[in-house]
Amino acid sequence: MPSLKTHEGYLLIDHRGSPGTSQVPGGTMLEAASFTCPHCSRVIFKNPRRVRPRGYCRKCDQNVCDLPGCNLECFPIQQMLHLALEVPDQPWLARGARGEILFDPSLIRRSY
Amino acid sequence: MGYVYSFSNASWLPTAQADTTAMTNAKYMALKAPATPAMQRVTEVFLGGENTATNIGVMVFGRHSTDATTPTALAAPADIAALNISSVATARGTQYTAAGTGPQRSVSSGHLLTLSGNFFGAIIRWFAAPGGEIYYVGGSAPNDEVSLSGFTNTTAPQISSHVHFEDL
Repeated sequence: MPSLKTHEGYLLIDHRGSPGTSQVPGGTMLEAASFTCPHCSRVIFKNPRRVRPRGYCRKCDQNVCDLPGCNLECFPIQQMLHLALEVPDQPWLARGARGEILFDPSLIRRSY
Repeated sequence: MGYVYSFSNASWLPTAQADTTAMTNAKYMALKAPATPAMQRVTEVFLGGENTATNIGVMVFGRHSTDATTPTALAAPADIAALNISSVATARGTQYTAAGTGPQRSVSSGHLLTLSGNFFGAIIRWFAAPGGEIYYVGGSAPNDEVSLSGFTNTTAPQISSHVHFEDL
């Protein structure tokens, strides 16, 4: 059975030889799982202490970031890549500040 | 699997670059996909801190709202290296650290990955899970360029870095 963990990337912040920061103090290191939002491509580092549920897209079968646009509609980046090749000069890969799409959605219907 | 490359830059001094403002030459590492139809993706970003005193900085990786004009050919200490035996010697697309007019980072899509640390000795590495890479495609902004650059409060720490990318 597929697991959401198969979509996890990896972050290392190694301050073992550094005075460090308040988040990762000197002499310590942080290893964290990350995931890339399938809608907007933002990389999210997973906070292990988070208790509220993460957004989830049933079409993508992946967690999504907290931006409202990414939780509201499914415009997967993989589909946008093909559209960008097919119909250039539209902001297929960019998203607005709230995760909203910036391209004309009617182009999807015309394309497929 | 496509051709895989490492775009590296040694001992450079990133400074804070504002969004939607032309970035300063030698203060960023930018990648531009070849003309459409072409697709590339970033699989790994690495930063090695070389500063000789505490220097906390914020590096961001993301898309451009405006492409650079006339990127300058890459010169030492920046370099492109093929990472697998099947890769052609010269990577497609354009990788650059300077241009006639620098690229402008997007406000909303220019911060796909944010990495901060104390560059007096920090080692910072991110790599994507399969399918979680950051893609960019040939064409025009904001689809075709991405970059690594400093953000607010980054005051010229000395770092060496690389960005691994794959030509699909």
